Amino acid sequence: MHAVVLLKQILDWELPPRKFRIDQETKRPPDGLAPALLGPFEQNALELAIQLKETGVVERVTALLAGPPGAADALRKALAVRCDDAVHIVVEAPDLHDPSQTAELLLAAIRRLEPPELVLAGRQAGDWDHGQVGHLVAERLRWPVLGLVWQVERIDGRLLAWRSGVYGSEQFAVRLPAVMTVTSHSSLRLRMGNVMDLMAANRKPITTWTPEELGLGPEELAAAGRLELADVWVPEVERHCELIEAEDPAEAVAALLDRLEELKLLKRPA
Amino acid sequence: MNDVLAAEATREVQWEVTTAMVVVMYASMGIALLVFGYGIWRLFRVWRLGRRAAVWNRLGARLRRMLAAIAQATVLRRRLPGFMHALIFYGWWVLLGATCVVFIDHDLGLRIMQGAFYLVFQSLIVDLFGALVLLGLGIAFYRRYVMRPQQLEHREPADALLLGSILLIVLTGFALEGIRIAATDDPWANWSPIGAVTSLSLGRLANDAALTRAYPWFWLTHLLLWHVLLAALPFTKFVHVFTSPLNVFFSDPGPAKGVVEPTDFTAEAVRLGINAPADMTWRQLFSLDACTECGRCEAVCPAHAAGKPLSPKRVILDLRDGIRAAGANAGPLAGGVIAPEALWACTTCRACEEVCPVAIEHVPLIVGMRQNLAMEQAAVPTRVGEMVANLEAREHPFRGASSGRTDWMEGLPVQELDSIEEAGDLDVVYWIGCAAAFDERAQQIARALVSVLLHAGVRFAVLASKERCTGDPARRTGNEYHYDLLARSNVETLEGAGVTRILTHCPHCLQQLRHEYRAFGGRYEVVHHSEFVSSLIEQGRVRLAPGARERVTFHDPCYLGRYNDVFEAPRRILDVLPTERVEMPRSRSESFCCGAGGGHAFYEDDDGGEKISGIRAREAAATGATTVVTGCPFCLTMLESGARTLTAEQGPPLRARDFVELVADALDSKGSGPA
Ligand code: SF4
Ligand code: SF4
Repeated sequence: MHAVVLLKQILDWELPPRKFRIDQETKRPPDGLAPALLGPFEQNALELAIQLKETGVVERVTALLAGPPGAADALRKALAVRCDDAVHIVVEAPDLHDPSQTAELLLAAIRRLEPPELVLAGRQAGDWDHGQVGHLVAERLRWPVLGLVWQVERIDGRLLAWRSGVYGSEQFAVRLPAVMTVTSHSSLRLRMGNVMDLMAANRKPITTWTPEELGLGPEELAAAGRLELADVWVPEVERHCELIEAEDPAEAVAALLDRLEELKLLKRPA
Repeated sequence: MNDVLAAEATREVQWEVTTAMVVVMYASMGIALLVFGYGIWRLFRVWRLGRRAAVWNRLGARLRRMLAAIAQATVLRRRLPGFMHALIFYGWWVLLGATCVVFIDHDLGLRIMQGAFYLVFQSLIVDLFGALVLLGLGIAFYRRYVMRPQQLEHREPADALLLGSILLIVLTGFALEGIRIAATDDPWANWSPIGAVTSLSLGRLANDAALTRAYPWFWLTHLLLWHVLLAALPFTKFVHVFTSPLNVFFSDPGPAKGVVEPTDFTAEAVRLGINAPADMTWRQLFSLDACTECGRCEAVCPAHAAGKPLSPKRVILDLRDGIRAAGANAGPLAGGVIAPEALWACTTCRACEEVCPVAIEHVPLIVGMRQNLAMEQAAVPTRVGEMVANLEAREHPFRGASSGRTDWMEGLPVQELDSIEEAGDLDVVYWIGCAAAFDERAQQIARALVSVLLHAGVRFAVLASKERCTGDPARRTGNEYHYDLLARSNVETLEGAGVTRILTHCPHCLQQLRHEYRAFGGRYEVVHHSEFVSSLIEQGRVRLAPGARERVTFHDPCYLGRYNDVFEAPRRILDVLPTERVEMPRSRSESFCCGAGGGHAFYEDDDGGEKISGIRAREAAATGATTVVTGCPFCLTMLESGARTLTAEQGPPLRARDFVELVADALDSKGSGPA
């Protein structure tokens, strides 16, 4: 069985918030603000794909990504943890504002690959948090989709998937082909990979396609989009710091309570 | 004088010994030599499994080190066992010399055992040294069987047999002498005082005839014991009488210490650390057979002291035994013969190497096996994996840091180095390192140092966001591939900026920039801020205001002291500040690690056991100091966290500070600017 895992690079999420800026022109953070890294949920999806390969549930894994040239790093990482193939749809911007357009691009590429039976995606991109692409791809493929999955096993010939539900974990039997979006879990921390694989990954070819090659020139891509990003800004947060001076902890607590009451943040029973 | 040192003075050899006994003696000697040869050949087979090693460079330094070892320099650093060993060691050589004299005189027929030489050396000196060996043996028995220090390896009955046979050899030797003196009325008996005393006591026990009959049997026993010892030598730790001095000769003669051997990632078959004997150099395999099992390394190991599953002695002995048993097929060594928990517990502090009397290098073996765990088996502790992922993604090891690389210098008039021309006008380029960039406490070190530099009018610049981690935490955790990438890009940056003189407040950066980047073509003059500030003070460029005296103690960072031999500069600085400096029991080259080295700053384990930093903080507090001063951002963090674990009984609250913070506090602001 062939599985495709959808990847995305996002701006380093450890960038200190006060350093975060938006370029009003592009409506994105300016280039070079911080490194672009493989998103955390995509790391989980990649790890799950590799685990499925190790347990023999799938035979081959292809990593697929739409992003700027530098995003090839994420594909190298996928190859370094033993993905079999890597496909890069080269677009200039880090992402497209409308997830439908991204889904359209990925779908066009999936249709060109050896037909997969399983598509894995992160539950949402860690930057804009739309959480749509996996579901949109499933819709276009007319496949079932299961969200927030963290474990998949084949038991008695059936594919069983565990997902985080509102009331705890749920287990589903899944009929293939299917799309799953993957959530974070301690068992899905992306492995380090050994150095031999890392060096081999640097020599492996990455298939690159342009949107045009996939039949999605600017016009087609525009037609696929329904949403337009009208405005984006960093909310202003005002911070005020006040130190409570006191001799000992008991006095400090009393003073703190008084002050909180004064600010009407808390009311003590009479 | 002449009749005292009579020319005809000599003694009988093989007196009263029958031909049959002589035949038995030579036969047993032959067998002993064969067994000995076989034992050495077995060891040799193991050494040959190793890779090539360079051991003939810096010959002078190597010979000096070897002679110092033979003179028992390191051994004597530990009083009682050192004294014990020196007694047995020197005595043994003298006794061996005496045996050779007999051989030359009797077997080769060169009459040298005569006259003054016979009386002074062969009689008096040999007698006295024999007594010293007995004294040494007494101490050894007392230590091993009464004191029983935990670090001593116990291998019974082999240990008792070895010590016992040496004891018997010496005792039978004295008995032989005593009998001969008593039965032959030796006119030169007084030249052998112990022999003379023995003869008197033997004379009371039996008559001359009985003694004469017993003599050949003592003689045979004496020599057979010798042969047993000789044959056992290559099969026991006693082989160290040969391997130890040679190992000191073969060991790394410096001057740089603890430099990790680079890995050639362009090689056809890349060797990823140590996992089999063939991954080690022959010199490393040889060193395993030099171990005397003395346990000094274990006694000083901070990880062992904190109850972690690591003993450097066990690492050496388990490798030795594992490889002796299985030869080329021994393994996996990394994570098999040596447990992963042991390998990850090491802080690479080099205390074990510093104290080892036979110059065994434990750390390259440990780091080598870590390299295998990390690069081939991809089996590292979770937090090491996260640290490496962080290095890969962000080029610094501080996961979740809330600052950027240049935040520390906000509001300070610090110049960023842009061009090669600028570099030429500078006194130094100040290398900040990741700690002072990403750790809020350590940022204060950089700010303090900058205020001192500005005060003294030093022309300096920083590389700001062009700096990357030197790679030290990657290298020490065995992630050499990631280290290699970082080292190469830093060298490229430094070359591109024309940097030649570097100042750093981080001993780990110091070790990298000063020594380890050489393998990547990076050659710079690198100074630690203790050396730099100390010379500024000497030049009168720092004006200090008087202040209240404070009692301080200095903690020697491993990478500053043991790795780079900088011990005095920080102390010189403290001595001109308004401080009263006291020393901890373990200081300078015997300093006890803070627990951060070897990448541990990023994966200090929370196994609930005692922390190394806590032990060190307690030691600092016990001096009565209110501040423990250091010269490393990682030690600072560790000592601060250790100080937080101190209880009220252990003394008043202890602060941890970098010495340059004290200097900055003491600057005379009225006199700022060069004097
Ligand atoms: S380097 Fe330090 S921590 Fe490591 S084994 Fe030696 S003494 Fe122990
Ligand atoms: S390694 Fe060195 S210090 Fe440790 S037991 Fe062996 S000889 Fe002694």
